[in-house]
Amino acid sequence: MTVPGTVIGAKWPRGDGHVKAAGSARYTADMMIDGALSGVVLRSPHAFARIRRVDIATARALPGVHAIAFSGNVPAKPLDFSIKDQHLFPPDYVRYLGEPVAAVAAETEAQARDATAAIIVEYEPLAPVLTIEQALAQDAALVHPDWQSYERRESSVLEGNVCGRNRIRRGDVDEGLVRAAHVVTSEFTFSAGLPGYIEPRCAVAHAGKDGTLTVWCGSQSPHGNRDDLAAFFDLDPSKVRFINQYVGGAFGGKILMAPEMYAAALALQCDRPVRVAWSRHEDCMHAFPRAGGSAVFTSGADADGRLLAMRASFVFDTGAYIGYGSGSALIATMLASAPYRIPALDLDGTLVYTNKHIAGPVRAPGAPQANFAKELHLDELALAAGVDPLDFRLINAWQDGDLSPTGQRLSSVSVREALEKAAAAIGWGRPLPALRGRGIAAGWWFSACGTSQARVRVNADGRVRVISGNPEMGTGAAAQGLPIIAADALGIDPANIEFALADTGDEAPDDGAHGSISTFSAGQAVAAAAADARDQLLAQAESMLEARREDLELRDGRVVNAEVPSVGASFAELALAAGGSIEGRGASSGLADPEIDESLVQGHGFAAWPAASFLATAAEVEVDPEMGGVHVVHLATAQDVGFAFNPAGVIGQIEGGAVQAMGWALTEELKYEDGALLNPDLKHYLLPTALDAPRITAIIVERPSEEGPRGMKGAGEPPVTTPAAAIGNAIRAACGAVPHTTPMTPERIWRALNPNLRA
Amino acid sequence: MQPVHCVVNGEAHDLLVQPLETLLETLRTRLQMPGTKEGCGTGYCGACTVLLDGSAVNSCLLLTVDTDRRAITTIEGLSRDGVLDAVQAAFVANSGLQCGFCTPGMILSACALLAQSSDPSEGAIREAIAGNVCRCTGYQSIVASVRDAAQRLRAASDVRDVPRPRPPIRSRA
Amino acid sequence: MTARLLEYFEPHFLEEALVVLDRFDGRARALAGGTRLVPELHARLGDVAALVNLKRVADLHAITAENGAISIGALATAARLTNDPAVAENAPLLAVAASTLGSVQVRALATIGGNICSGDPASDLTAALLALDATCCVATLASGERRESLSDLLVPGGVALRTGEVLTRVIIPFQRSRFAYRKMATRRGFEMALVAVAILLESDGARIQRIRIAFAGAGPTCVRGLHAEQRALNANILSEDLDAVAAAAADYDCAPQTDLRASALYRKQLVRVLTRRCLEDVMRVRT
Ligand SMILES: Cc1cc2nc3c(=O)[nH]c(=O)nc-3n(C[C@@H](O)[C@@H](O)[C@H](O)COP(=O)(O)OP(=O)(O)OC[C@H]3O[C@@H](n4cnc5c(N)ncnc54)[C@H](O)[C@@H]3O)c2cc1C
Ligand code: FES
Ligand code: FES
Repeated sequence: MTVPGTVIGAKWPRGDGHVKAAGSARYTADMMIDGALSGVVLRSPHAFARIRRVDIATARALPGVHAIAFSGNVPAKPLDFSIKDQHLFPPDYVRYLGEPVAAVAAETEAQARDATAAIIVEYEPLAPVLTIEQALAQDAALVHPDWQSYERRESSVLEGNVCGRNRIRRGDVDEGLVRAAHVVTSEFTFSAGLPGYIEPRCAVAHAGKDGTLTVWCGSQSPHGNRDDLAAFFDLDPSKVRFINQYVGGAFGGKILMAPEMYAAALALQCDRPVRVAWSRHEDCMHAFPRAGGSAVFTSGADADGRLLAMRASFVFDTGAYIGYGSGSALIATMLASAPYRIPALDLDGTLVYTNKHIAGPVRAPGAPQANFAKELHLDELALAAGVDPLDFRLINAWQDGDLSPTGQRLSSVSVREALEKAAAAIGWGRPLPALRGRGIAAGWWFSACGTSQARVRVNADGRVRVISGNPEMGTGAAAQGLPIIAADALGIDPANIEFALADTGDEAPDDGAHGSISTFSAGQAVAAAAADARDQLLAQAESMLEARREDLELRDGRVVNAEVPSVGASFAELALAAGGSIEGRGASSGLADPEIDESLVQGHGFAAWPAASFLATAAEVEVDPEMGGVHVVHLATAQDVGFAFNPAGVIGQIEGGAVQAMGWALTEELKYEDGALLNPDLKHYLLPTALDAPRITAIIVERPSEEGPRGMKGAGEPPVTTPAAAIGNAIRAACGAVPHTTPMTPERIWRALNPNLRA
Repeated sequence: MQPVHCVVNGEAHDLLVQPLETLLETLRTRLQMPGTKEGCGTGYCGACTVLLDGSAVNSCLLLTVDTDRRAITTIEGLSRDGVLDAVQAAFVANSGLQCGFCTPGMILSACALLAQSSDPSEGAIREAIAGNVCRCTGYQSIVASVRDAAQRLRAASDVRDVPRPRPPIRSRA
Repeated sequence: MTARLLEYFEPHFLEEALVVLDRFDGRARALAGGTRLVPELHARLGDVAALVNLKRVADLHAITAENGAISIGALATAARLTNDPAVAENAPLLAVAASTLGSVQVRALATIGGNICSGDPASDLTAALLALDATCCVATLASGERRESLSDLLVPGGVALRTGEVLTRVIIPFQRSRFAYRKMATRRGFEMALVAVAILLESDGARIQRIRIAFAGAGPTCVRGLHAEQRALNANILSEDLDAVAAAAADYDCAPQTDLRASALYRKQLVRVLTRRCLEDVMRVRT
């Protein structure tokens, strides 16, 4: 028997499991659109060059060509980011190798490619800025020679190649370091990495004669993208519709528009649908990677291992444009000292431009990097102090009532519980064979709540449909989580609930699937909509059954008399009586930012973390010191989600996140030479396989937050933030050395063990 | 153009194809069966995996001309009248899929393994799916799915003790 | 992805294939498993006007064992090498090397001929075949068949096949010696070797009597470990310092390159470690 309140918290199969296993789930590239033209983008062959001239005349006259979009015929305004540093097609300079300079729509892909080859672009190549050191050098060339003329949001920072700077300071670090019995300094460098979704991006756009524009795509943020696209092309947003298809993974890589913009630019110039489908190569050439960067840490602890002071400095490489890249440096300073009590802090983060790909908000931007540096550094301090790494963390871990780095009073703190559970899962402290080692790392995260509206409709056939603009990326947040929430309110099996892929035409706007936000905001909206639907069902039943509300209850898709359950009406009957359907509406209520101490922060727009969550990962690895090979044997992540609406979904996020993080830790790296990406493919960009993936233990910790619905905390991003650090520490425990550079490839581990080798 | 006679999911096809057309293109565009996915087009993701005379192959590397007189099974060929087969059902039941993009290829690799071995070890399962990259799941739930699928198939063959009947070959005009 | 128009042939007989290849004078390519060629053609690499699919030439598929040697047709796939009984009995090293190639899906397509002819210095089968002292049979239009040892056929960046020549089969003398194959890559599978080492060894008691060593990823082609072999010969495998053999391999036999995957220095280290471990493997299976 299913009654309200019995669904949430149990494990249910996914609403989209059947179609995905059957192979009938349709992704954007699967759509067969009659008459669609093929859209192909022409990309810059230079990392940095002045554009002297673009001439499309010859190309435009080629057979099959319907439209060519370039800087001369699309809106001249810059794209709307915090710094207006980027154009759809740059009019003056190309700033990374692969930057689009034009796009062609033609009958066939071959014709479109031939036409791109016939577009004449005269470049004057310039010396590119390729590294952080070059960007920050005294006499550095400027990635944006005209930066001073850029419009930008007040909160942004811009000064030559520096496009972000924030600082958190508390107490007297110098004094703390002087008092410390043990002081350690560590330096780190991080590779840039792909989000690594398996579905390359694709979009189809069609401009109707009536002034409408329809875009079919797989976006992480269809409503936000719709608004941005409409604003850029000066269209009425109500006439632009984004229809999401199934999405083959995103991980933050499908938040910024890409093929959507080029398909739209072309579609607006012709009367046929235009399809822009990227090969893996193009997808890599247009990736929004996890930012590379570097960090320096100095910290001190007293003789017992109690932390006294920390100074940490990060620099991240955002690539050619700001995009949504500012998050990395902001999040890094928030993580640098957490979740540990450190009385004196001086943490700063800098973001720089280089002539490389635009860094994107890849799952927990900045966080694997920051935690890797912080946790390896702290292990070095623990080692110096002669304290076991787990004990060191337990001694220093935050507890209820402690202050965050920015002065936020913390509650429902579960750091110790997470550390202890993760450590226990891998048998911390038990003897190990030679060349095996264990490592541990902890972190914290925030919950975000955007605006979201939802409807829950009970149809005359008794089926229930959840309508939310929250896109299903694969996490199950929309396909599994939202039906569970609605089913719980209505007292039915989630299998009886249909969910809808996001469609801005459904008028259920939502901020999108990013920042661990989905279940938080869309979930709240759906819960409210389902409660509204339930009230309407009860009201309808009151009159139909001539019963009092308090005598009625919902049970297995019926409203029945609680005393005499045989007396009742089915949802179908009630919907019919109500004129064909009953529709509940709901919206998310948002989440207030906690109070912080503003005097501690500079240039930090992200210093208050509501419904904070905590986690720890423990790793066991085996190292082959002669060749530097690592086998990750076991990863255990204990993650506090406050309250698990959908435990199966949380476990999926923890397991998947563990292996993603392991990839970034050990094998994944975008490699450049003279600004050219050397591995835009899956042959040399090495995603972990089933042979690499370890045994994973996912432990759900539930320490309810005060702010979240039912105590919930955001869950999607944290699992990717701690495993790399735990693996690094385990490598050192196994063999006595660890590279301070990601990925920790076999060669780098071998070199870390043999520091006197030549390059 | 090159004539090719092949059998896809039990249905015979007489095709005229370009010599450089891959089986992946033929399936997705010519035969309008987009269940088979393209993740890389170079053999390095496995999303395009299909069975060629029972063996798992990358359909992005295989030219359609090389499928002449051969039998191909795609994800569309596993379920019957909307009912998932044992392997597919095991993936749904064990959360062996998230975004679903690797899933068709993953399931077919599992089918190829289970046709050879009724109770594969974890190591054999990981070896068999090493050419199918999944970014979402971390593989643990996929390994569990394949184990469960093996169990389901064993249970089914215990009951009937006969191999699953092959679908009849229908000719298409 | 759009297929380009080009001329396509499916000859049933080798002579036909040779005639066509000759007619296009270097602009025709032989197609075997296609695992390397198909992505290249789709990326529009090379100037290719015609494709000659070898699959219908029946002889090229044959695997036979007689007169103390096993003959493997150029179209034998890696998957077949891993489970063919004649290979398992007479050249098990090749079966093991084949099982490390790519993925299940790639092994089902990739052929031994394609592995040799693609000329990649990291090729697993080629390295194993070098250790196995394989002879290659090459068919030419003008002069019928020529035989050449595999080591002579391998040249930096490719193979010494003349325009229009087809590799038809490889011949391996029965090898029932003890063997070992080890491969190191960044990932734990589904990747070309950074370095791989193949060793065949026969000993009389503790004394090494015959040994052949070959490497993948340790030079511009797959290479033989002649110095290491020399050093190992007559050595006492129980007492002799195996590190000296491994060092000879790394210091004298290999000229690895630095590329985007690894440095030359690290590759030398891999040669050293893998060689020593292979020798240890072989000793471990001593009866
Ligand atoms: C995903 C993936 C993973 C891989 N992993 C590995 C690995 O781990 N180890 C490894 O060694 N290799 C690996 N490879 C490379 C693999 O493609 C080759 O090793 C394979 O054996 C080539 O064989 P083929 O039959 O596919 O060759 P094809 O692609 O058909 O041909 C390759 C070249 O050889 C020529 N050729 C082929 N046969 C003949 C012949 N009989 N006579 C004359 N010329 C001929 C062709 O014209 C072409 O130039 C991998 C490839 C892929 C796609
Ligand atoms: S699409 Fe064929 S292996 Fe990736
Ligand atoms: S489920 Fe997304 S790639 Fe496997």
